[in-house]
Amino acid sequence: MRLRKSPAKSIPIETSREIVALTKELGISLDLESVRKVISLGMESLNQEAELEYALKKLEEEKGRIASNFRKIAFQYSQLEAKCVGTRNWFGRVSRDNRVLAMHLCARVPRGKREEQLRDDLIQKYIMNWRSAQNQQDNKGDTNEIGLE
Amino acid sequence: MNAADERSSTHEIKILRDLYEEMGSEEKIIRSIKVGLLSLRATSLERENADLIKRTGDLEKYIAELPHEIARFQQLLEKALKDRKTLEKLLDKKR
Repeated sequence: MRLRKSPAKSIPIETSREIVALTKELGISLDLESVRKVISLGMESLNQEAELEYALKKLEEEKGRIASNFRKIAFQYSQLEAKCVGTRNWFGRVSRDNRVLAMHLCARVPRGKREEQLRDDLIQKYIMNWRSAQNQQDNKGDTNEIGLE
Repeated sequence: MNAADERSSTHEIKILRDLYEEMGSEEKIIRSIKVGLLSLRATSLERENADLIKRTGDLEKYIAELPHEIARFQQLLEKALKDRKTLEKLLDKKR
């Protein structure tokens, strides 16, 4: 029986740690097809190895600067967002408390015209408006907290 | 993958015999692979940088909007706190 010639040939790359490091960094495996594509890319490249290494160094430096700026901006954003969420939640809690108080107020008889006006306004704001806002939210299918504005 | 497999897969490259013969020498093959991988890494870094720049821009846009949102909620909160005082007063409730 005659043995068939293997279609693939192995090349040792112990001396090229860079290739191993780059494949790891890029998350690619050097199977037959990938090697073919990488070789053709290498042959088509107009740049020399040294030029590419220099460009990579510059890109890494640029990435460092961009990432540092991004971290600063992201920190600033998270601080502001926390403040916004905190204020919104506080407002939500006070509004819910006010709604409970307004419900208690419904059972009270006002003393005088001014008190009656205040009572009506607050009941309108925290019970009537709240309900219509709730209905609007339900129709929109929005689950966000209802804000009384 | 065990250690022996990993060693063999990271320390040798399999290449189609036709391509090997076409390239001529191992040195040329190694050089082409290196240049190809460096080009890929450069492209990938360019994309990563562009993505980070875009994400930074998006955050800056949100940062510009947030102070207005905070001011709006603070205004609403002030009104709600004032209302609470009025409601408590109307209910003769002292907290």
